[in-house]
Amino acid sequence: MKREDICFMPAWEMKEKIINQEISSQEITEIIIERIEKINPIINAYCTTTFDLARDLAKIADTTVKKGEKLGLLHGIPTSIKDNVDIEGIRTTCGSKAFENYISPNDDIAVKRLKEAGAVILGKTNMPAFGYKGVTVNLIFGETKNPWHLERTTGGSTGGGAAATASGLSPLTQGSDGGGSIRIPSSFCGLYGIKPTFGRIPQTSMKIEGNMGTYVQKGPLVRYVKDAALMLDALVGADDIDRYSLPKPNYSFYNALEETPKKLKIGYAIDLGGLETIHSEVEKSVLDAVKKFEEFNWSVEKSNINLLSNGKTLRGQVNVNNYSLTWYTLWAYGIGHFLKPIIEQKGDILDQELVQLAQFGLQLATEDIYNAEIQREIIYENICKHFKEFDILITPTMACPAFELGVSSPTKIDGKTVSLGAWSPYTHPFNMSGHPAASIPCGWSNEGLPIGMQIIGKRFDEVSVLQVSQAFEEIAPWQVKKPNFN
Amino acid sequence: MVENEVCFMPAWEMAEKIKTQELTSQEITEVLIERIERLNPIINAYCTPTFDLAREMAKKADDRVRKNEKIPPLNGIPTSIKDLMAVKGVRTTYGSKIFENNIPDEDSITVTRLKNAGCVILGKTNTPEFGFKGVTDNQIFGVTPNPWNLEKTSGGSSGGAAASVASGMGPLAQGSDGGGSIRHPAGFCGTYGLKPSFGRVPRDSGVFKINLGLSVIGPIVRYVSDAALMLDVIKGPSESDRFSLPEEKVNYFEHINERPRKLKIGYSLDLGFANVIDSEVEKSVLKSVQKFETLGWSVEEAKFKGIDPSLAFSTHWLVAFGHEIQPYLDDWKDKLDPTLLTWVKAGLQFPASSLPLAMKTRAEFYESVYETFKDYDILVTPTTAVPAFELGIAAPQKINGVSVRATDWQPFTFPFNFTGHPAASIPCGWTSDNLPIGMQIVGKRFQELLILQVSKAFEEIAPWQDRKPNFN
Repeated sequence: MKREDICFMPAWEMKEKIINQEISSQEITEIIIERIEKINPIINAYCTTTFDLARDLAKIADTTVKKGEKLGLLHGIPTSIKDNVDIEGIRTTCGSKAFENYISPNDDIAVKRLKEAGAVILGKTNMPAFGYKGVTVNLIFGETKNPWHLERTTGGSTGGGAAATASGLSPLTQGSDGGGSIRIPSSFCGLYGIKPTFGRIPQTSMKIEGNMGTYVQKGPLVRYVKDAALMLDALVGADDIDRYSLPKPNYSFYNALEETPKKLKIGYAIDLGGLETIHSEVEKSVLDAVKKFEEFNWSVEKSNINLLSNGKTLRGQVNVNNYSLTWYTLWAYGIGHFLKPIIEQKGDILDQELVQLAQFGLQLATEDIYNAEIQREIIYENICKHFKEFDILITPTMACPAFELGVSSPTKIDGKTVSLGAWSPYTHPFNMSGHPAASIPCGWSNEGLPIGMQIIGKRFDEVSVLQVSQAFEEIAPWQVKKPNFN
Repeated sequence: MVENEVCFMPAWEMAEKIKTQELTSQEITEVLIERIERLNPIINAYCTPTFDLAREMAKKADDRVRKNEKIPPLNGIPTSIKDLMAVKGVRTTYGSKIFENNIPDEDSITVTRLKNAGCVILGKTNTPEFGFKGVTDNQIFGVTPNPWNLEKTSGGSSGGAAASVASGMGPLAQGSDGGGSIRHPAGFCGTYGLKPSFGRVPRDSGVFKINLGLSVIGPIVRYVSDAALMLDVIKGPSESDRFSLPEEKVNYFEHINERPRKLKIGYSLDLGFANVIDSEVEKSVLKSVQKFETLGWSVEEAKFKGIDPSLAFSTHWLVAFGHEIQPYLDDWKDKLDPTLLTWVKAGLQFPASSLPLAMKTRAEFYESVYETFKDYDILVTPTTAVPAFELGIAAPQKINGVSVRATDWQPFTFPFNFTGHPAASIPCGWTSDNLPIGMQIVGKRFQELLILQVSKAFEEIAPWQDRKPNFN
């Protein structure tokens, strides 16, 4: 086996080989470390490597196998952790100068669970400060580049993690998603990423996320659908520290992939309401892809979903004129009040675009927030209406493929001048609603950039999302293509 | 059959008797209707009876038995619905003049589930306007006094529900609890009330679209087993509530008699911040919690980090009421409960930074409860710091002779709306004035079954149902 093949091997296969002692976790870890040392200077995926920790963990994993002791779900498999998640004794900057030298005193629950499952932690991956935007650049570590095209963005905020996994620098990546931060970089980097139902993976502290708390959810970014299921199995389940966390399901996502649904109703939409524009290549790619599901004898229909539909409350009709603005209002408000004490102390060393976002949030009145929360409920109801008719919703993940480095959003899509948020109208509604949503590679642009398709399920129904994803992976595999760094 | 026997019979026993045709649902329903007609003018528990609907449903329930059809779990059992919850075709006022003539065209989810379970709906129970306060009176239907002493409050906001159950005017009542609204009236009226984990019963977004993660629907009953029976029917996820919890394949009623062999109970008389507590309440709760030792369980005082969440909670509550009611102010301010109007105005004056700060305190408080709860399976506190107080006020001004803040009579309930933990109130004693005293039993998230088992054990050691209010 070539060393590169090991770097691109599915995690579930690695696990089998480690358990059968065909290859050791230490061998795998060393090969990947070598590759990180070669490739990371080019793409800047890892901001902090933890090779000593990785070697320790790999050694423990191998010893356990040799002794015939109980093995973990992710036994000996290398993984990366996003730089806003604590690993005991490791620098955790959140991509912000405010935390440039912060060393975490404890493991985050997710890290604890990954360690317990036997994962080997290779390092921390790069992100914009506090994950505030959809591209990956910050004042400490600079920008992360798209492995498929070094002048393009990886997307964000889990851009470092996505770039790492796409480049064979880790088969598993832990990401988090408050507006699309798992799905955007998955789409731009040609990966599979899933944001599970809100509450599946507990937050270690209710204080950290503040008002954004009900947006953000951790999840995996991987190259194979099965690996996402495996990683989810290790991560999900309630913890008393998080008052929103959901009880551990009494089934395994990984085992659920042994089955494919016989019947399924898929509804797709290119426009969730008030779409500004979509790149023609993305639209074509997603429409072609969604038709492929008919091969499974599933019904595939265009959905009438419209997030802008009026909602009824006892106060009367409530209109949603712009669902992205609803999301943005609550996001800015949350970030603003979270950052307020930090801005007061060290505003001048922060990313100024972030400070502006925070200041927008800080000037909002309670009434603005209240109205946004009511609109959020209407948006939720409009999504639920779709799920009364369909089991699955499919949309593009993004309105365009990866755009150039150096900007936070493209000014043009497909030659058309667009507003700031136009490139990303599909992901954040499902942060507002909490539904599980994945991005799966579904095609390539003429420039050779990956295109992502979003697959959304009912609350708690990650199983259907994963099964549909795996079915798609089987008829339209994408993993043969690898980024070229020569 | 004697009226008292039927009217104070446990619901689970009624269900059995109806199933075996020892009694019909129609007989039970008629006996109850007769009692309601006689007693309701005194205690004003029901604001809108639905006797026609009840008779129709009772007949259907009896038909199911006679025709040997599948018998749903609450077949033929009379139930009341709080007037904050929509029943199709039945006047639903939310205790507010604004909705004085509101007739919903759809059932709320809980009502649908109760109907599907075979319940007989006797009527709507009284509540303060939109459930805003902890006593029960409003501008349409007036005040609901306490069945044990007609000059005292029934508590609130599920005061009508608790008063009806305590008076034998229905074995099951649906309540809801955003700050203590199941537990206060349960405590004041000597009934058992359970606020489940946040999300266990899907919320009804009827009046307020936003609930800031506080409010849950739950049962008020006279027997612990009946709470399990009712909760089994109304729990479970719904797509309509994005916080509803996933299906839990455990039937509480079936497991309620299982008694944990080992249990660590921590009790607190202050949760780390409460100032003052009525001495009779204190004595009664301390005496009661020690009774768990006879079951071989450990009982010790639990210490909390001193975070006072009162102001943070008031901020949530007032901001919510302020902004929900604001659109009605121009047309309706003269018809609102004057206290509510004051609260709404206060709620609209909070600066934008107040809610985020309150949320931060909420998170800190949650973490303090989490730290303490690590050492215990169950927490026990008094339900309220006082027994039922006099009618006509929203809060007592003094406790034990000490002047107190408006929130100080209820420092034990709202903290668990803030945290989302399941919590019950169980009758644990009587004051020298013959008023019931409630003890709160709190479980970890998702641990309703354990609360029910502990409650059932307590009910067996210290039963309270022999005592009945006297209306002669």
